[in-house]
Amino acid sequence: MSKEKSSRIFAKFFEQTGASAVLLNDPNSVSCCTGLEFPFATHFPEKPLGYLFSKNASSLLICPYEWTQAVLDQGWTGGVRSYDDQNADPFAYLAEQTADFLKTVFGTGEAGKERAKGKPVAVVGLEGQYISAAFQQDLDEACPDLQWVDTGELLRDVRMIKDKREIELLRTSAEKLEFGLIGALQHLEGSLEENGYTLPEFCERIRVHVYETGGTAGGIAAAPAGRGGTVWYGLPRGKFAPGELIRIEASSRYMGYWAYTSRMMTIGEATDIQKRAYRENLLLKERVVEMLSPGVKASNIFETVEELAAAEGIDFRPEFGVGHGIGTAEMEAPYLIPSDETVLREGMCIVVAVYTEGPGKELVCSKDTYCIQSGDPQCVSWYHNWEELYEVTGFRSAH
Amino acid sequence: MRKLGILEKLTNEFKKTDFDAVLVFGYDHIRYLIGGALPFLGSLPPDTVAVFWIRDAEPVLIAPAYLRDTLRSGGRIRNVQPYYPYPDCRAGEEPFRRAKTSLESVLTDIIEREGLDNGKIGLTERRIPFSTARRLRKKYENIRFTSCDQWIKDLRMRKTAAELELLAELAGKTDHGLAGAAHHVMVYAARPEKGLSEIIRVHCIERGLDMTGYESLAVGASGEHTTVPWPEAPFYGVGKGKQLMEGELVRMEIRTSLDGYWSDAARLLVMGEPDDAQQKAYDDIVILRNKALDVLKPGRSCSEVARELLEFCTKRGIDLVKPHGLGHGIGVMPVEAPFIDPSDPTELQSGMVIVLTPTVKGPEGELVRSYDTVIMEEQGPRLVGWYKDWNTPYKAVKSYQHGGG
Repeated sequence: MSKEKSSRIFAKFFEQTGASAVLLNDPNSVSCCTGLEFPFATHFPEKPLGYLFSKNASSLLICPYEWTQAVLDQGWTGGVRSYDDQNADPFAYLAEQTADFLKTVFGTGEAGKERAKGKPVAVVGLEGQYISAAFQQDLDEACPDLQWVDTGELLRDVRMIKDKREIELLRTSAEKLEFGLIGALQHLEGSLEENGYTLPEFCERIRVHVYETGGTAGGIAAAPAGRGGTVWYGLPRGKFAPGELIRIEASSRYMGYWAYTSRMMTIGEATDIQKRAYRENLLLKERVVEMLSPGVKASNIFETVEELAAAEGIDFRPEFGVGHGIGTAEMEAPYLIPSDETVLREGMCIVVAVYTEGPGKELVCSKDTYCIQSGDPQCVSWYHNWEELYEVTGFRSAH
Repeated sequence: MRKLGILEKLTNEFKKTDFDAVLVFGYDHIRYLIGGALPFLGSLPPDTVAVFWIRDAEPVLIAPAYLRDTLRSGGRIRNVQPYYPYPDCRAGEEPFRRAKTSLESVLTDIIEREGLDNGKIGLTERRIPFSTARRLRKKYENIRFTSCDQWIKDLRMRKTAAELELLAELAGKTDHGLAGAAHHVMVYAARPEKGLSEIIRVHCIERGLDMTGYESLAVGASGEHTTVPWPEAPFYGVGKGKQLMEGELVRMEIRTSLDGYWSDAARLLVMGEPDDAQQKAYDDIVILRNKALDVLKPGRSCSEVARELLEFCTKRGIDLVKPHGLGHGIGVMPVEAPFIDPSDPTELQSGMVIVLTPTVKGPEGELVRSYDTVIMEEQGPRLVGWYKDWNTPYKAVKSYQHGGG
């Protein structure tokens, strides 16, 4: 999302809630509202981020020192303050800097308290479902004259609808992951004549090929195979074995936006029963895709798929839902599950993710990403014909 | 999964507290309790997974149903209580008819079933989302929710013997992986940074380490790219087309893991013989390492050690890049407490593992680093994992092919 778009959205939020500023701490929200990509910020709970944006368009980013240069190199022109990389209490710094920023913008702090005579000087939005209880207390102590309101619903809404630039980033991201995966598969084909790849090597090949096509980061990479495929994720271990049904789970990022896929393959020619399991999965997936239109409720899609699975006798795994949004997080709202009443709108990007069971109870899934628009949804992740189960037969020996 | 004695240790330590139960949120803490490599947890919202542990009972992992089997098979907590994204939607199937639809509904069920609604529950206040904590406090006014952040932090910092063994093994394999990659670097057949970061990762995989994605990445930065921690952002750990050039300093870094535990490694490679200024910067790192090994003692606080090292740098004219820090703990996270920093009052103890991470500025502004992992023992720190003698940097040969170039 562009900074201009986020400014417009926050203006609406300020108008609706009476808030004068917003503090974002979820790195995915910060990325969405600033256009910045961080080095896996959600994976470092002791390296908190803060992004402050005020009604008068002042902004401040607070981050660890080691990310400062990366932020500036991405063209950030707002304010930045950083704490030392090994500060034992970065949350105290974050609270202190937040208070300082708001004091500068609104004249809060002691002077404000006096002026307001017990009433809050300003209302500030925060992400109640992300920030910790202890950090909220730090904020209360640092900013005793402020009132905090939850921006969770607003941000959920904002992040669900992608603008053109975001859709293009998601498309590019999906393309790079798809090419990364196809590249790895080609090397796997080439390795069969000799000693074959280990699963860790294959997963590393996905990452290498994503990088070669221009991806900015690698996420999950797993290849649950055979009996290991009965669970969603396991560390890649051992070697590929002939006859196994294999699910590749992979995600990667491009300029802050994620791609997420699952693809299915067999080592050697697939058996009829494996092919049938795959076709059954695609049947449910097609039903989801048919329903991806503005005005359709997320929960209705799930329910329809579940009914179809029951009618066709397909071993559907409902706990996975049948899809989810994607953006600056790998999985984000809306969720195609029964409890999500979100009505689909133009600009939403959905990863269709239907899990069914194969002959050995392996999880079967072939994910694709769709952008919702008027008319048919646009698929942005299809760079190989996945209508048939991919059979790794060693057709290519050049690698 | 290796037996690391974590649940046994925690069971004993739990008995020393007055908590009736502990409720643990947070990617890092959950990793510690569950064990195993579960890289995707860091991408999930913070209220997705929690561990609820009642005194004298088995810990319960509360997780979304789609993760149930993954967490059961990949972790050490067997009692996984799932919640579902829907109620009653598969009429006639028993598990779904009684489905809990959120983490909080599973938790509520356990609290009420076990009669804990007047108890004292330790809560990771630094990790639980504010709105979740607020709802729990409102619902259970008689429960005394008390922070257990420091308790779990202390437990994580002091490793079991098996954890120490694993971390030493990891440090050794990682150092071997870095040196293995360096063997393939030649001055007159130089590779690009992308190739270097790839062979660092591949050499670690070859040694049995896990490159699990996300923060598990490698950096190969040369010349001007060594002046910043993340060259060519937002391509983090990707490396692009810049070729390594004769006479340059090259930073080789990697974060990798084994059985859910991490190494955090950085070594310096010189493209040929270092010049005097480059050698001086590296010598400063060596001097600083030796000083750190001298001053790290059980019983001293991290802040005291940090101040002494900072004063030492000032006196010796060592151009330390202070904001990057001097050292940090390591375990289920590549960076964790304690921190060798003036802000950390933690007392160093036997059983802690520290990665020494001083960064010195090189002649062209390069960030010169050589990280070392040390295990704190009664008599002082024990340096682990050196594959080669790092009192000198790795010097790339001119053209002789090692293992295929």
